[in-house]
Amino acid sequence: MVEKVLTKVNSLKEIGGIALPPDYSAENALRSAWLILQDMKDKANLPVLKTSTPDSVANALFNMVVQGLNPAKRQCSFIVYGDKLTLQREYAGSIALARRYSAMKNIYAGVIYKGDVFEYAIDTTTGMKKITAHAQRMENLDDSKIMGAYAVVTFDDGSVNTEIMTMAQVQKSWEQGSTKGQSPAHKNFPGEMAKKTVINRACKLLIAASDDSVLMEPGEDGRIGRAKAEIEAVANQGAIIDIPDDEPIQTAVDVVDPPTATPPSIPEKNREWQGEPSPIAPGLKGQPSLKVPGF
Amino acid sequence: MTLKVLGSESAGNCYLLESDAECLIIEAGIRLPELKKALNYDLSKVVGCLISHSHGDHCKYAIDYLKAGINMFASKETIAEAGLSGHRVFRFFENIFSLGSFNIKCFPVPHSVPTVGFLIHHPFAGSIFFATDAAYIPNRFIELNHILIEANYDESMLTSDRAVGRHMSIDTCLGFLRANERRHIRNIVLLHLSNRNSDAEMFAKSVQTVAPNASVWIADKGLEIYLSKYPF
Repeated sequence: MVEKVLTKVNSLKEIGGIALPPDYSAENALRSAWLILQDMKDKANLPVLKTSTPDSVANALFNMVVQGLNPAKRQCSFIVYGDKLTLQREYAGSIALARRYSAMKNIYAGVIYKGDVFEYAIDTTTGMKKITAHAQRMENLDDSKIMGAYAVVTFDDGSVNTEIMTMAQVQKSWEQGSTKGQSPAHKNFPGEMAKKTVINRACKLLIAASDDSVLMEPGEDGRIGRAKAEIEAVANQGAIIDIPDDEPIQTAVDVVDPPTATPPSIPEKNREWQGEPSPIAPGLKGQPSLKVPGF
Repeated sequence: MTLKVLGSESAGNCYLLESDAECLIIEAGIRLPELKKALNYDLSKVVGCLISHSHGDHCKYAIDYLKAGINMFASKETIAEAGLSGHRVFRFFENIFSLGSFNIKCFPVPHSVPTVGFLIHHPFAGSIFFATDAAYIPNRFIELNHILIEANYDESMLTSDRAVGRHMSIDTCLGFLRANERRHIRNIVLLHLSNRNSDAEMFAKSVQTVAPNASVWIADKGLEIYLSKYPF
């Protein structure tokens, strides 16, 4: 099965039918997924690879590769619905994708407990929310008294957005899930689960609204490819630089400070370093040579 | 003429071209006491110090050198960036200029900040090429006798792409050697090897195959080699 999916992925890659992120190893992800699936049992305690249709398994694996997720990093998990295996993106996967596809730099989540001072402002020009105050005391940290959760997204350009959810909204969101918010994790660690929920929501739109520019990097690996192309194009091809024996030599350099010390007789074009490769300037025969102070 | 390597790595760069009467310093990346010691506490024969660019490992101690009475030479960008001022600070000329019996020509090389390499001509040592912290060398050269050039990384050993496009790979270095006249080369000194992404022995070997008649050196701290344009 792994080979089948891998062959399919590679053949699509070759004909340009699919583009994978340059930093993603489809092989590693597929092998990890296969190890996980081999151990996985459904509700009736039967191996999922026996009960799920081969098509649904192949689809789930293919879906994982196309999104560039790795189950060994808990970026996604496999869930059985009847005889169908499906892929679900986990919140670590959401963060990875939001980082990869959008300008998101970092994301952090916080939980608001009863008794906390929590204030935020909305920038009416951008619609972005900004938390202006969140004062919390240790004794407020009671997972049975969660008022809400928020996720703060910082972007590469330094701007910040905040996603805020009340606990009622979080619980509504949990009810959409297969365990309806009644899993041991949801019951025992509602604070941590609420953080995951709000992070997921913040990442969702970033991922959905992103373009595929990361997949469009030219060459073998973006920067390396570009650097190599530049070297190929321009290295060792410029003008010949030489110090001929009979070239008159200027024993002078431009004094930077104080400016009044700059002798006026230096030709304008020689005043400063131009920063461009240029052929040797013509000889300076007949020009007065200047003595450097201190020599 | 002796080349002394006082440092050739990200921790600090400094090279001396020293004859009995004169000494030209290249880069100001090592502490002044170390420099003084290397000069046997005789700064009177120093004709000047050239700085290639404004990164700390090349110009961190330029102000100390200035205070010790050493004339500093750099591009205007480097002077501004490093905050150098005073009557001992000089801007590079585009033309050939001389410091003592050294004739010097600067040429720009691509790095993350404005950077120059140097072609230095000395009546006894001959033509000395110096370039470090350069992704590649745009220009060509003739009749070089001694080549001091960066060989920072090997692409297959890279752990990150940080150096790419800023520093020189061994392949680019070999490409430079192949593209230029090699008949007169006496010494090749490989500079600024990355601690993690390079293999000195392999680098020296591959350079030797391109320039079989040259002596190939790795610029380890403390290296001293004799530079002469004459074979004997």
